Amino acid sequence: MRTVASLSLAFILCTTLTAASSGFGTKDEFPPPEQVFRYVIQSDGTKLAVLWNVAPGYYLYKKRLAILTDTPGVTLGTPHFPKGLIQHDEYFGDQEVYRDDFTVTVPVTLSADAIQTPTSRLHLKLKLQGCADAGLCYPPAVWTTSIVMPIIPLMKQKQP
Amino acid sequence: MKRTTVLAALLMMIAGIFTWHWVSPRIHVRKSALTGPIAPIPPVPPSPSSPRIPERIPALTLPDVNGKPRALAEWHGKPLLINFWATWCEPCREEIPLLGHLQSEFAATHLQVLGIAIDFKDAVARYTRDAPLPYPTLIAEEDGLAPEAFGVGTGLPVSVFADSQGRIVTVKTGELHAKEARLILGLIAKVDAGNLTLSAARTEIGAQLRQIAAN
Repeated sequence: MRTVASLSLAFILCTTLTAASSGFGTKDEFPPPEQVFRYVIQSDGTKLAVLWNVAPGYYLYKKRLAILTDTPGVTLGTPHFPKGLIQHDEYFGDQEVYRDDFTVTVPVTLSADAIQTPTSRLHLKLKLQGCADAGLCYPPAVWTTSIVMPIIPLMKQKQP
Repeated sequence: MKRTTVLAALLMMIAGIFTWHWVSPRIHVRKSALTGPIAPIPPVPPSPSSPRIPERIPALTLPDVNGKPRALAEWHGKPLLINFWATWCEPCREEIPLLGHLQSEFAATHLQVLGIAIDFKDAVARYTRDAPLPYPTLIAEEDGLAPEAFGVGTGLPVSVFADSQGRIVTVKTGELHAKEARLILGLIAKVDAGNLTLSAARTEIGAQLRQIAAN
């Protein structure tokens, strides 16, 4: 038993030393973007609200944020962005960025056919691009997701 | 019984070391310290499996800003500092002067700095017209194939350091700082001069980079 314990300790030490001697530097020091840029989408049937949560030390560019849909019969209006923070970029000038929590709202318009359709699943694409204060930028990304729109407001929307 | 137990423990140890070597580039993910009121777990897009950093500079051919195909093999025989960058990446642009300076400072070692832009050709051409880069840059557009070939993919900038034999010595993700670069290039010069093994250089680099990061 003592031998097993000693070998286990040797194993831990070996892996630790191997880790310490890994020659590939700081490759994965930064978490993937989906861990630092998190969101929840809510809808009341007439608009979408994208609630973003940006991890401390990270930020998203306002001009790189967008929300799109290719669901038939559904049109998204002009998004409403809250006021962001101004960050100076020597090449692109002043840039508006978001940190921490913020919400983007988007009006949703449904065609007559879409209102009749029993399904209410809305397919969405979120465009984003952000960086870390520690000196890393994530490439522009398009994330796909879908939500179920509330039925009752849709029926109300149908009424005059 | 005791011999069997010892044998099993030895096998576990070997398997552990083997596993570590294969997965180690992927498991240094820092846990994000998320705070805030968003309680539900959001829909997370499927993340592609992280490719592995190759042992050697991959055989790639990419166009330069004039559209001329350039093979990385063209620079074989020189220590390389390959810098993945983009015009939309502020920390990438900020390290360009340092990279140019390193190219001059380590000229005696025949260092070649090389940019690979993960960006659109027009954007790179516009940028380099306004602010010419003091070293060649190739364009990989935004298709992700070049970063994948190098096993890098989290974000930019990424600096890949290789010795004159094309062996990748270390990879730095995030903005490169002068102290880090000089340390790495100095040790690569020792490897190329035959005064240090690749393994010893990697160990030294790993230890010193952690020390720099901790300070």
